[in-house]
Formats: sequence, C-alpha cells, structure tokens
Amino acid sequence: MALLVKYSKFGSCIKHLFQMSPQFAAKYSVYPPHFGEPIYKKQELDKLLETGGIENFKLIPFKAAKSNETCSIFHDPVVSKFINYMLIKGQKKLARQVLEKTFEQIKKIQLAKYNKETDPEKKSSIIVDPVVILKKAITNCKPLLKLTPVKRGGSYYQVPVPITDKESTFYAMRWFVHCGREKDKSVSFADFMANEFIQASNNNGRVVKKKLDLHKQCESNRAYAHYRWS
Amino acid sequence: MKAYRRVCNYATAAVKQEAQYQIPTASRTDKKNPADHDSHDLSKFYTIDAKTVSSIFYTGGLPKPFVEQTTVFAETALMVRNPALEIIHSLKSADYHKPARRYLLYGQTGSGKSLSLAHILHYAYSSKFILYHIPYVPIWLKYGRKEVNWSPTKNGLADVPLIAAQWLKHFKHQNGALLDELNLTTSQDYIWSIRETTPKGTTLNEFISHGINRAKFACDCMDYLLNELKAHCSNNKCKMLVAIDGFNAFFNEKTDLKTEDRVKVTPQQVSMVQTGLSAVLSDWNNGAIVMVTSPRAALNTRRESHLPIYLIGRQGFEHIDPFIPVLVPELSTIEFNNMLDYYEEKRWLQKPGGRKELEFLTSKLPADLMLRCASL
Repeated sequence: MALLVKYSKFGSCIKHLFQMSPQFAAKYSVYPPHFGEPIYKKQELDKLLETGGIENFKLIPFKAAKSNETCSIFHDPVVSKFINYMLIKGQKKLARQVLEKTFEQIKKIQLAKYNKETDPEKKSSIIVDPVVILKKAITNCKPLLKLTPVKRGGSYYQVPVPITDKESTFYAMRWFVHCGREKDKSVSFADFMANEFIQASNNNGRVVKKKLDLHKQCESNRAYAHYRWS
Repeated sequence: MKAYRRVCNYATAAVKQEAQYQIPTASRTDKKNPADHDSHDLSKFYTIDAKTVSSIFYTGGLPKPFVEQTTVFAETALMVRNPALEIIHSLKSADYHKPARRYLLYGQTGSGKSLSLAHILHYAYSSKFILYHIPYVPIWLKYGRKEVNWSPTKNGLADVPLIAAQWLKHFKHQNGALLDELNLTTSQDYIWSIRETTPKGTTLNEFISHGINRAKFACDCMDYLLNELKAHCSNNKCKMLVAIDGFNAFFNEKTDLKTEDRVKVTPQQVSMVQTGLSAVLSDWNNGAIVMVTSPRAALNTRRESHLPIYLIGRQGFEHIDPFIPVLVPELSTIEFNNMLDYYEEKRWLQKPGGRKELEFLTSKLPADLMLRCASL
C-alpha cells in the first residue's frame, strides 16, 4: 500500500502531462480520466517489482482500491463482479451468501461424481473447484455478436454488430442471473444455479442455449449487417 | 489444472507454483476401537465404520452440518482430541464400585463438544455400556406444535408423549441388541391403567416397546426405565453411560411449550426433564455421566459466556455438584493444520495457501472452519 501511496503522490504532480484514454472514463467519476486502476493484489505488485514492470506505473496517479478489493487469496475479481451483477437493492451480503451457498452445492455435486468415479484418468479430469467452473461456464456463454437497433427508413432493424470482450462477459453473467431469477420457486437459487453452472461448463444448459439463439438471430439478420455503416 | 490455467490466464510464475503443489494427506490412526486410543493418536483422524455410525447415531447425536459433510466425504472421520481422550482414559481407570462420576464438557460454540461426546459414546458403545443418551435437550423444549398434556401420575408435571416415544425409539435403536444379550428384566409390576399392566420379569425390550406403542405412557416409561437401569447397574448386572447434550437447557427460564389449556410450561415442569435430572444424580454406581453445556442450548438472551456456572446457574451447579469440568478448547496449531490437510485430501478445500487467513477468520474453531471452507 505504501508503494501505491508513494507513486500516486509523485504521479499527481505531473498528472496533466500524462493522459490516459479519456473516452472510457465514467461521466461523473471522482477521478480525472488519467487516473490508473489500482493494483491491490500484493502478489501482482511483487511480480511487477521483480520483472521491473513497475517502471511503467511510476508516473501514474492511481484510484483508491474499492472496499471489497482485497489481496486475500480467496478474493477473485470475476466472482466479485458476478456478485455485483446479481445483487438486488444493494443487499450485497445476501448476494454473497447465496453465491457461497451455490459454490458449496457445486462442490457437493462434483465431489459425489468424483467419489463415484473409479477410472483414475477420468477422476483427475473432474473439476471440483467452483470458481474454475464458474469461469469456464462464463467463457462458454460469451456471445460473439450482439444485436443493436438501427433506424432506417422509419423502422428499426436489429443489426448484428461485433462485441467487445468486456461486454460479452457482461452478457454471459447477466444471462446467468436472469436464468436464476426465472427459476421455479420450489427450487432454491443455490441448487438451481449450481446445476446451471455445471451444465454450462460442459457446454450445455439454458444459458448456452440463449447464446446460440442470439447467434442464430444474428445469422438470420445478416442481411442488415451493412446498416452499421450506411 | 490445465483448464484452470487456461481459464484464469495465469502468468507463468503462478503456474510454476501450482505444479509443485501436491495434495496433502491427513495423518490418521489405524486404531478403530476408541478404547485403544492414547496420546500418540492425538490430533489424528480415525474413521468410524458406517455400521457403527448407523447403530449409534441413526436417530441423532451428530450435529447436522457434520452429517452432511460425512455424506460428501463418504466416511465418518473424527479427530482424536484431548478432552474426549481424557474422559475415555478416566472411564477406563475408574473404580466402578463407587458412585458414578460426572463429567461436564464445556467450551465455546463450535469448538467440538458434541463430536467429543460422540467419540466418548463410541467408546462406551464398543465397551458394552448401556447408553442413556439424550441427543440434544433443546429439541424437546422447542416450539413445534407438540402435544403437551398434564401428567396423570405426577402432580404438576407436563408430559410430551410423542417426543418421549421418539426418545424411547432412539434408546431401543442404540441398546436393543445389548439389552437382549444381557437379558435384563423388570423388578416389579407396572400398572399403566386398569387393563394394561407389565408384570414383574418382563424383558426391558418389551417394556420399552410398550412405551413406544402406547405413547401416552412414554414419559412414565422413560422414568421407570431409568430406575430399572440404575438398579441393575448397582446390582452389577450392566454398565451405563448417561450422556446429555445441551444439558443447560434443563435450567433455562422458559420453554416454547404450552399445554392444551394454554399454560406456559417451564423446563422444570416437564416430566422428561425431571427424568433427565434424576439420571444425572449420582445415587447409583457402575457407570458414568457425561454432560455437555453449550451456549446454543441456552436462551438467546443468555449466551454471553460459555462457562458452566453462567449457563446452568447456581441451582444447576448444586444439582450436579461434585463434577469434573473438561474444557473443549479451540484447535491447536497441529490440529488446525491436520484438519485443513484432511479437507484438502478430500478435495473439500480447493484453495491451498490461505491458512493464515483462515486461522485469523475462524479463530481456529472447527465448526467455523467447516463453514468457511464450504465455499472455498
């Protein structure tokens, strides 16, 4: 932390010399656009110090780390992002507990498979780590294209356009959350989502189907693709 | 692991560390019989075979989260810890001609009191003690649309017939085979009503069956059974271990129970509680009494301390007075590491390397550790 503070102080003196892609900055952010994202993991900082990559960050002022960003080994940025997407009315504690319960359920299901399997090769291929399963599920559900409405001749057309990596991750995560909200009331969120994650990590399930549907629609609307430019 | 690297896009330095990581194995003892455990087995795991688990703990006795975990791990493994070992050692070396000794297990919530008791119960079961085991007292006294009637035989006391019948079933499940083997019989006639009597010389198994089938008399049956067993123990026909979990619930100020005429019942007014209290009296020999006090069994306004006098009060203290208090502490460093080794061996803990953090978060309480590791 001391390192961060030192460099941020030093960097802020010359902040007007060093501009960082201002077009991505949030509109009402407290920080001016040239402020860098904080590196809050101790391991990453150590790595930067070792490799000498720290030189690139010496003259940049940094944002303060958010309250939920820790250097704990159990912290994962993807997981905390997912929690942020699924929470309602700011009940973050509840959302976190629910996701933790989901992880527990995933582990239970996978361990049951693991204990049942006798073939050692297949056994070692079973993934038990819930975070890995979550990440794998999300990567499997990321769409390649999206549809945007474009007005031409008085009517709107759904035009397939390429999608950024960040946005496609957002799509995938949001689909998972919506899928969880549409579930039957008799099943708990944790049980339902655990099944859904495991299925998606094996490339099937509702959310993967949603992705494929989107792809199909993009394919059928390919005739409108040129509306993107003209 | 390969998939993990690909998904996480880990840098090479991190990958190197992961390649070195080997799944640790927890240290275990081969001694299946708890009577053989000694100080060399401290902080090691021993497994109880499924048959024994179902014959002792089928109808209660193990905490629910622990039971869930055993189904996931496909085995029931307990850690050999000092408090249980101390009591087992003391039971082995006790002089059974003298009145029954009383032990009181106490400790913080989640420090492993119930599992220590389970270890002791396993010892007692394997060395042919009759178990007079009350799995968890608050279950009797909690609200649950229970049928509560005034007792016809004891003035001013209330019966909870179905719960008593349930307990008798529990008792029969644990001790049915042993009672058959010892061939214990009733020493006097019991007259339940005008038509129903149990003559002198009936086996205790039949006696209990009557209590289960006629739930109306279950509470009385429980009481008579205790007296019979005490008498048999004193006549040196059998040995008995009285084990009561959540003992301090006997001395709570109130219960959730109400009789049909809407009178609130205090714990001391419940006939089963009186039976439990008389089981704890050491007016018999050839046996031992193990009690567990836990803050969770107390009313939620009285959970500030885990110390026995605070939980059972002056009255309770005087009731059980000469007793041996045994503290169940939090895990020691060796125990803590072995516990985590066990979790990693069983693939329950997927993220190695956060031990210091877990130690700080859980303050080495095993139940807390179990909860924390559930999502990791």
